[in-house]
Amino acid sequence: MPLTKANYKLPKRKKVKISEKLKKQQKRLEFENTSYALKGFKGSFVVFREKGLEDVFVVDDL
Amino acid sequence: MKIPTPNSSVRDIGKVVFKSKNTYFDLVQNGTREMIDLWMYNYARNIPDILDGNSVRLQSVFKNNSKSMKNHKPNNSAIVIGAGPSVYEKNHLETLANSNYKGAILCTERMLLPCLKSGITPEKFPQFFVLTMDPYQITIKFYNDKIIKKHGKGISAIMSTCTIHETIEICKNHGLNIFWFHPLIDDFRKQGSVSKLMNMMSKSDKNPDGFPGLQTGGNVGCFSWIFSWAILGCSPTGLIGLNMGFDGDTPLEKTYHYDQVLNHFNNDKSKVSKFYRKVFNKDLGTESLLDPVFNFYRAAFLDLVVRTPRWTKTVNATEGGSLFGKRIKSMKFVDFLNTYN
Repeated sequence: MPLTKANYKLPKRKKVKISEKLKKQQKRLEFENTSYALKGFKGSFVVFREKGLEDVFVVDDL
Repeated sequence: MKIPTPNSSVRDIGKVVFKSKNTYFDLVQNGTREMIDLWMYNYARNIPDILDGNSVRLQSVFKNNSKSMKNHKPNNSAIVIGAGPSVYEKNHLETLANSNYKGAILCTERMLLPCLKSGITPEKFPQFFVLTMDPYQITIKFYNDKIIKKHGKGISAIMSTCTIHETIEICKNHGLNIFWFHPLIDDFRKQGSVSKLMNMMSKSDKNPDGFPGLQTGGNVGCFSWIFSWAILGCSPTGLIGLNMGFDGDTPLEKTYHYDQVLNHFNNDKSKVSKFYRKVFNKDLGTESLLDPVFNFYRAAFLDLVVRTPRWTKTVNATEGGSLFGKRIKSMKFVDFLNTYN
């Protein structure tokens, strides 16, 4: 019988167990990377240029 | 529990309240505001620590809150350590480690390990701070090392209430002294402000007024600079490793945010260069290449530095990069150490 893609059986591989912690970390990393891609640019937090907020560095009573 | 995704409705709020004509600035800023769900996700998980935590107020030299800031007379200087390439090219860590500098050391989180390994430790420099404001997972690895546990007790960690919780757990395990602040993420004067809501939730018997809200400038290097004078009352503040740009002849593909910019233009390489610019650093006579993100950070820093109280002095001792201009003095790092120690 000629060996074709249809009749060739791939060797079975052992499934690697991923711990819950690692799974959670991978999910989080995936999310962060997707977010960067969606945003286009990476920035963190904001800089105020609204009127009256230009000189605000510390707000004691939020 | 589903980890939150960017909230596109927040973009609209940004467009209404933010009226800058600078397109680059808008792009990064509005994109950033979309991350609000992630900030809240982290904030919620930090609440037990926040309610029992210390406030950055404890570190403030302005006992009458920031009202007494205007006429302050500084008696201490500070050094902010960023992770820009010049910090290694110019051997600034070794220079500092071998000095007898007496002022405050403000380490951006990425530089904590390199600093400790270079001999810049809280035992040698008792006023030793590390700062974190990013909500991302990457901050975990900056704190996850045995050497940090060794020096943990002498380190004051200045933490945003939106920091990823795992980072907080590691810091606690390593014995770092955590001090909390709220990052100012919206106009707190408005009804329903997220910054205001965050503070309402952080009030406790220990901190009846919650925590102060701090301007961050968009990145931890700029935030460290703000913290050095607005909380610690230090001046001058010397900056090292705050390049905010690349050497002028760096290929675009090798710049830090290239993939993100390329992605923004649907992988059309011909459009990418439109978002890059070069600036000539007059103080150093060198050219700096800015990607849109560093362009944003630079613009934010230059905007903020001219609004600081008159007693503050900012000395750029990076010996490279794009930060120069009004109220920024450029100087070699060794000269900074000799002049202001």
